[in-house]
Amino acid sequence: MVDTKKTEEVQVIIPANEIDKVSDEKWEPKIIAFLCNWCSYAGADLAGVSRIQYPPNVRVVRVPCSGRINPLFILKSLQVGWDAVLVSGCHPGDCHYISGNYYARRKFSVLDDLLEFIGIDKGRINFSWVSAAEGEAFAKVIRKITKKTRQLGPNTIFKEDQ
Amino acid sequence: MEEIRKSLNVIVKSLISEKKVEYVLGFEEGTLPLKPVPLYIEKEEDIDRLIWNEYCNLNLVKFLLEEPHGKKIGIILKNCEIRSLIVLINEKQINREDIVIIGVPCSYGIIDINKVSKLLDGKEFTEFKKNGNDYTFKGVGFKKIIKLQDILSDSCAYCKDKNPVEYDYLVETPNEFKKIKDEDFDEYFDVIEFEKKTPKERWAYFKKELEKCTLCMACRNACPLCYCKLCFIDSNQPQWFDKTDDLSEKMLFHMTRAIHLAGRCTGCEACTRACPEGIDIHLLYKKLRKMTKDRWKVDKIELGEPSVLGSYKIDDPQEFMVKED
Ligand code: SF4
Ligand code: SF4
Repeated sequence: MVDTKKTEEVQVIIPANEIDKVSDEKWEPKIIAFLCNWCSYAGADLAGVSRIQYPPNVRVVRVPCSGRINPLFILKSLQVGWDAVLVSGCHPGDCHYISGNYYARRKFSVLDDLLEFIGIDKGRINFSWVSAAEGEAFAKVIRKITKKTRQLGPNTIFKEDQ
Repeated sequence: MEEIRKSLNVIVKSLISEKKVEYVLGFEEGTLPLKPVPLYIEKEEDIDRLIWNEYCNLNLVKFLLEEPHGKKIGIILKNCEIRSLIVLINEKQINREDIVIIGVPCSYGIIDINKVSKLLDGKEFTEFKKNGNDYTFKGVGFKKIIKLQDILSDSCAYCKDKNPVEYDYLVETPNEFKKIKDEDFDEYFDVIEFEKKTPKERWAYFKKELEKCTLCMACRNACPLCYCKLCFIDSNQPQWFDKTDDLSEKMLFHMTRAIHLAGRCTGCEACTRACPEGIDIHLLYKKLRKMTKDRWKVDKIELGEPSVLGSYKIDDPQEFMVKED
């Protein structure tokens, strides 16, 4: 079941005329990260245990495999107001279920090309491979994405002129 | 067209009289001009109502989905529709043995009724006459002559794949068809032209087009490849879709539907012709067709091949991944 308290927090859709007000210093990007249980989630865990510092803007959703991630999850996240999405799984060849990340890679490239085609800035959608041993790599990815999202500003995807 | 109809008559007659199939699916004239309806031919006397022309604009494969497995059915199809039937066979929705395919070569393509009403400024016509390439539309207080090229469906205008690839009976290509030269145009010409625009222009175009969408689901219902018993749009547990008319909802629907059709859509354009708002929604799917060709070198859908998103290669391109540095 969905934790309603949490979804309420997510579903803040900023009206167009208030965007200027929000985008002052107080605005912090919110990033949703779909991490696969066996590699990227463990990588994020390792970053935590090793006390590697990374921006606190990311919220993690654990999924069994990157192949479990439906492109709809990504589009829906953007629609309800997350400023950026990260999808991360095991490196090619390391999938716990042998080939889940290969299928995922095909789905992501479809989504990637489609958004490019309709003229949406792709910077908000990020895919990466992070293994369970790569705590530092995970922190780097998060730092990079947070920086990028900060430059892009609050999410207006599907709503405003791009 | 008359030649095709005559050979269709012979084939359908033999199928019915020899009881090889329970019925043959074709088209008959509807009550409105340019709007034919499906015809189920069960008896020989029904055959006279059969028509075949450039405005048979539905994809009849959709009607096979409701039939139980094991029922023998004959169906008259063009190549784009045969390919969509192949997708359904590959996906184990339909048994190849159940279907008797009567393949018809395509000449120019199919008329897009939305283009007609755009050229007539939305005025309704009650009569039309064909004279070679000129189509005369008559309505209350007006008369207009339109050239066939101006009202052809986009995917037909750029189609190079006009001869049936899979069939049990093939209708002979009439001599008049062979005259059409295979000029050197690109199949994805319209997509390539569109890609040349700036992202701002592309977004402006889709925003303008999709704002017209009323989420009536006619495009989904006309498409033979949308056969899920419960579409993600109708699901309320979880509820993906808030059923408002916000632009973001329309985007969510069309983007997701496009992803579901990646590598499956065969370009019959039944969706675009079904759209009451005249949105050229097929452009998205055509783009994905081009993308699967460019990226994974999978061009046309063939019988027995795995689907594009249901297969992979170890060295698929992955330039879009975030680099750590
Ligand atoms: S999406 Fe449109 S063009 Fe593609 S198969 Fe379905 S109805 Fe035909
Ligand atoms: S048929 Fe047209 S109006 Fe209806 S849902 Fe599809 S795109 Fe929207």
